[in-house]
This record gives sequence, C-alpha cells and structure tokens, in this order.
Amino acid sequence: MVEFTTPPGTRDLIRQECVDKRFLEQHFRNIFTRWGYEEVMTPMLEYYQTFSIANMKEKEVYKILDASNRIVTLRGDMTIPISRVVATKFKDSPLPLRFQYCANVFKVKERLSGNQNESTDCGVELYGVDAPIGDLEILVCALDALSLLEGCQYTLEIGNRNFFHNACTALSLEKSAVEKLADFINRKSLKELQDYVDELAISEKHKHFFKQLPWLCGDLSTIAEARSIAFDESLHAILDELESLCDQLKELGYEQQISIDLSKLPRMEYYTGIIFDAYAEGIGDSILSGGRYDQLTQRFGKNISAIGFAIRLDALATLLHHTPSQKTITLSYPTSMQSEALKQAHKLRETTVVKLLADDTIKQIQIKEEA
Amino acid sequence: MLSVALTKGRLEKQTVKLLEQSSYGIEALKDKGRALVFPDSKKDISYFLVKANDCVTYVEHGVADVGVVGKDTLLESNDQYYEVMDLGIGKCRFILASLPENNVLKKQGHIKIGTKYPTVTKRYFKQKGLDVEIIKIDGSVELAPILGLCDAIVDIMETGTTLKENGLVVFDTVCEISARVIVNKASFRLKRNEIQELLNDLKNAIKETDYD
Repeated sequence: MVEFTTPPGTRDLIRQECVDKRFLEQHFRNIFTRWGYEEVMTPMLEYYQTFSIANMKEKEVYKILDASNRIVTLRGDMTIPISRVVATKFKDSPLPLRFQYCANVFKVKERLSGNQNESTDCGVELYGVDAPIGDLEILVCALDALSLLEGCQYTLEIGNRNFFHNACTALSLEKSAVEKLADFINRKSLKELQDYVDELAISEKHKHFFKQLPWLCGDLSTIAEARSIAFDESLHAILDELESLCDQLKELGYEQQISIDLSKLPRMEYYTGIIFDAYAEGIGDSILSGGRYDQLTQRFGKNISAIGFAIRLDALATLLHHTPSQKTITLSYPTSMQSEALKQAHKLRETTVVKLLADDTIKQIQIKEEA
Repeated sequence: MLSVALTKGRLEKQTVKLLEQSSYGIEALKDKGRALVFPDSKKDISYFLVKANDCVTYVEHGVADVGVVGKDTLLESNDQYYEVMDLGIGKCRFILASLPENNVLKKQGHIKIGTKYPTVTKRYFKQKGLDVEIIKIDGSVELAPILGLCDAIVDIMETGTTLKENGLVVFDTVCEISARVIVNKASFRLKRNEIQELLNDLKNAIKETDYD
C-alpha cells in the first residue's frame, strides 16, 4: 500500500490554522515595515558552504547533491543568507540597512520529539548600528511586535553571551572545558555542573561564579545580584551596559515585560554580544530569539556590525486565534442560470466573500448569509 | 498554579514521601483511586502520574511545569528541559556486564552490545574510544549474552541479584543514576518564584532525610 503522508517534522496547515498563521505574519510585517524594514527574499536552497562557514551544526542541516555534485542545503535560518546578501550585494551601500523576512527554515531534529523540522521565522536584521544604540532599537522593536500578546503572560529575557565567555577567557579555560560548562549551564543541569566545576583547577571564588551563574535570571535586580560574583572588570563592564540598557527600557515603560538571564548562551555560534529570547505561558520554548552578531558578515567578505531577531510563527499561532471579520455568503443557482449567477457574484464580491453553489432543485438564484 | 508530573512506580513512593516531609497536601496522591490528576490540598499545585518517558515529554511541551524522573530516562532523551536538582532517591547505576570470560573492554575485533538504552551505550563507548554495534533489546537483557546474541550488556543495576543469578559480572560502571527534578524552559522564567519555593522545600526535605 502506498502511504501519502508528510515526512517527519513537517505538517499540513488547513483552514483556521492558516488563518491564524497568516494573520500573525501580516501583523508582524506591518510593524516591521513601519520601523523601516524592507523585505528580502532569498532562495530556499543555498550552498552548504554558506551555512558551514557560519558554523551551523552539520547534523542539523538538510543536505542534497545538485546536478554538478555540489552540496546544497535547505536554509537552516534566515540570518545567515541575509548576511551573505548584505556582505556581497550591499558591500558598498550606505549604512544602516534594515531588512525583514518571513520565510520557512529547515532544521533536522530528533525524530518524534514533537519538534518541527520545517518552521516559519518572521524577523528583522539591522546592519551597521553598533551597540548600545542598535541594541536598544532592536529590543524596543521586538517589544513592539510582542505587544500583540497583551493579556498573555510573557517576558523578553535579555543576556549577553560574553558574561560567560569573558569569564572563561579570564580564567584561560581550555576549549573543551568551556564547551562542557556551556552545555551544563545551557541545560541548567545543575548537578553535573557542580560536579564538573569542583574538579576544575580554579579558585573557590571562580567555582562559585560558575555554580551561581544558572541562577542569575529573573527581574532587573538580577544585575545587582550578579555584581557580587562578577570577578573582573570586563564582567562588570557587561553588567554596566546591561544596566543602562534596562534603565532605558524601564523609562520607556517596558519594566514589566523584560527580565534578565546572565546564564543565557546563544543557540548559534555567530552571536557576539547581547542575546535575548521571549517566552510566553503555555509554550514550552522561546517564541522569539535574537542577538548581536558583529562578525558574521565578515565571513562573507565585508565587516558590518549587526543585530536582529526572529519570531517563531508556528509556536505563536497555537497561542493566538484570529477570527476574520469578513462576511461570507453562499449564492445558489440552477445550472441554467450560471452566467447570471457569475455576474451577480462579481458585484457582490466588492464587499463580501461569495461562494457559488449549483443547485437544480431551485428555480431562482438564492442568496444566503453564512453563520 | 504549578503542575507537577511524577513518575509512576518505583520513584513514586519516595517522591511522595519527600513532598509529605515538606508538609505538602498530598493526601490525594496517597489514596489514588481512579483519579489521574491530584490537586494539592495546601499549595496551588496539581500533580499527575505518568510513565518516565512521558514525564519528560510533558515537561518539554510545557504541559507540566516540573517533573520528577530518573536520570536513566533523561540520558535517553534529547535535553529540551532544565535539570535543576538531584533528589538523591531512586539510586542505582548503569553498568557494563557480561559472562566472566567476556571482558569486552579488552576484546579485539567486533563488539556487540545488547541494551535497552542505546543512547547511553553509544555515548559510553564513544568516550572509551571503542567502536561497537548496539543491539536494542526490550526485556530480560541478561539473557542476551548468555544466548550469544551479544558480547556484553549495558543495563541498570539496583542490587545486582539478577546479574549474579544469571552468572554475569560487572566490568565497569557507566554512570550513577538517581531521581532528578526537571523544569520546563518557559516555566522556569514565568513561574520562577513558585518553582524555587518547591525546590527549596524539597532540598530541606532531603537534608532532613540525610540526618535520619
């Protein structure tokens, strides 16, 4: 028997599911357009090299051989292709550049984990505006987009990948140790973290730093809490920057919507500064994520500072339901009167949705409004 | 409200005991009847009992905010949760065992390992730098080396009685296992205070048990 199903991690969307998703897409597009972001569309297929140079995990990438035996991939995210576009096609353009997209991205995930391999990202990338100016702008833009969630409990959580990495550098930890620590902290696997840190040849003070790090998340008072374990100037400098960023967000009235996570580590290797994620009640993973990536375009040949974020439309669509206000009518007609029916329907379509229905049990055209 | 997924069976009793020591209102959990969801009579918490693998799934999808589950199950899952605490109950370990003459760690040539836990096995032998073929077996794993299906097994050992009865010996400990508290990633942020309170209470209960 032939089975006609979709591959694992992919799905069909029908009816209300499409309505919900398109509504969200349109909503975010409008917001981003008003912030001055122009749309960019890149091919679904890219050369593998484009993603490998950005250090996307090899096993997460869909790989296909093209006719000339080069490895082609289904794009795994949009930040990498857009950075490629900016570093090549816009290398001599005046900055800043603002680009938005809404596109499907592909990642190979564990089978049957309930995660999607194809998902839709809707986001923006801002090129040529350094920290902290660009950071604040992009965070406010993200908060603007999230205002749609009013009524749900949500939070935009801000961290900086350097808080952890500078600490590791200051202690000259080996690469393998850094990777291990990052993995434990990322998973907040506290027992393993504790055991591992105890074995490291670093002072008690520094051990304390790594053990406390996973708990450095919560409201804005977290920054003050972090001061007590920050052991060198570069860490304090990061906290200073974060503090002033949060003060500005507070002044703009976003205190309730933001929180801090200093143990936050990036999903992608290319991030270089602040990173952030939004979480909403009822959705197990982040609904928006982003950060600063000042060295990515360099790998494509041109050095431009950059920051951006993407919203995960599929996750959000399960949370918000949209009821279209458009009126729908059914116009029934006997087959002999089809031309007349088409004419009438054409007129009615100026204001409503018209569905046609051939019905030979009736003699005249009938119009019925749908509930 | 906090929803907590508890693993049915072996861990259930010990987990309920810890909650009881923390003076949580778990009467419903002790006298289960046919109910599936059990509200706490004192705290704003509801509990439900599920199989170990499902516990992880419920937490990953945010249906449960917190879960209590064995490290053995976590090692086979794909890490979409935070593992914040070791409860120190339900202790046992993963071991590598076989017939006394079959020390695979010293064997030259192709090695076949029978196990219910392919991920754990794969990781262990990768660390050892050994190439092995893994054969997934679902029950009575001890039987496999005796009948010659594989050279050795990786399995959970509590007391070691089953192994001994079948004439198998332990060659190595793969890792120690105990019950862990896992937390959904979004809940960790949105319900941080409630979760931290629960963790603190559990931590105190464990300390008391240690003094006993």
